[in-house]
Amino acid sequence: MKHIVIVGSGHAGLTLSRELRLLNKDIAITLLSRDSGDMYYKPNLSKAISMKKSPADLVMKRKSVLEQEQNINILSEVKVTGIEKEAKCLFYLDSDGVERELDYDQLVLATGASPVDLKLTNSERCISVNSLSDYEKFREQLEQLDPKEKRIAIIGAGFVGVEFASDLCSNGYEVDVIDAGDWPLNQALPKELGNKVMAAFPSDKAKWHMGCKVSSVEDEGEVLTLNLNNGTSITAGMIISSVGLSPNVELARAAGLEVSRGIVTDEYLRTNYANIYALGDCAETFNIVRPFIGPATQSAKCLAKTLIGEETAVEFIRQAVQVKLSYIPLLICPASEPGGDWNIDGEQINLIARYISASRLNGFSLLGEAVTQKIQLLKEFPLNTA
Amino acid sequence: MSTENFRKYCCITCDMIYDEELGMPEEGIEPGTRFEDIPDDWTCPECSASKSDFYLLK
Repeated sequence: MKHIVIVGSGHAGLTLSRELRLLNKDIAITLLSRDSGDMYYKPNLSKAISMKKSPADLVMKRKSVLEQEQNINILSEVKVTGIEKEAKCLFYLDSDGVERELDYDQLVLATGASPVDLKLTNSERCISVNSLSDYEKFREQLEQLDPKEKRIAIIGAGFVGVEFASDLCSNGYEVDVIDAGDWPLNQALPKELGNKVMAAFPSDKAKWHMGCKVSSVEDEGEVLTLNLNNGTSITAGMIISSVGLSPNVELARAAGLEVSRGIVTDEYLRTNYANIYALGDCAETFNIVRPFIGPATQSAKCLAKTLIGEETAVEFIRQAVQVKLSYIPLLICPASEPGGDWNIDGEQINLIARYISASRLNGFSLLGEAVTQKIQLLKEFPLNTA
Repeated sequence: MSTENFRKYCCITCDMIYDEELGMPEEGIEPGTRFEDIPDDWTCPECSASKSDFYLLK
């Protein structure tokens, strides 16, 4: 019987196993997870307080339920240490630290991405949240905060940073948001919209330190002090570091697979080596890494067909990502190439920003009531693919 | 169209709920639209799961 092994049990890995099982009830499927193997929806991590959910509430399906429903085997709390691609096997340390070997017919790397670590401090009150276990630590730290110290510093004002800022501000905390760019979400929004996003937050709860970097962090027991490169010092009870993600490519690189920013694949999500594929946040397809849920879902569905013998090239359908802020509606359809120009329409906070590259629409962002224009904007793409 | 017995469907990936009574006007789906009347190529606006990835909430 054919054995498909998937490294990673995040959204990409679990969507793939579910799709595979829908297509074929006989193949053997094994997932390896460095975490518990429980299923949760990662985008909820940065909005769970507003959703009134504890870390435990965020678990949608336990590992045992997934194994039973999908008839798969999930090896949890393991670390994959190497791939022997000629022999079609991999090595991993099981949850007891014992090295084991696993044979595969087809191997899928869905290893995800890790938060970039600025290495500013070793304090356990400086946290990057990219998994449910990270989130558990974050909530523990939050509960231990001195009631007088409700300020939290957020380094990095991208998708994750601004959502955490909103979730915290609307639940009794105050935030200092620091970013090297001159406005939040500066890679996805034009300045005018970024400024409106900042202005939408309550000014007594959110302070924006844009165009600055954190030079150093001092751990002073009760509080952390962040020294910014513009001379400002901020004190905070804890720090969220959300300065971006870096694809987890070490395993692929060590195995001799082609790696650029991510693990390089063709349109069938094949790496440069037979029977090894890459999927989700770790993959670089058509020269782009797409660290979003939508492309991972689309890729997983195509790859499931390819793996059972119906070769299916992946097509990335354009989609808008909702940035969930308590203070203002915001939708972003990320551009696929740099070097374009923004055209902005609308009034006050209700703005449509079109990103035009080579005379064509290549991305957009919608703010305020303009979010209702999403369907019309998606129809403006010359080809609805990215 | 019957205004009774509206059903709710839940996305298997992200728990988004499609409520037939409310529709999804922001997605161009009018209130009262039955789930079976949504185009088959419709995908979850939150996570891109397929229409077939929604299950009936009982």
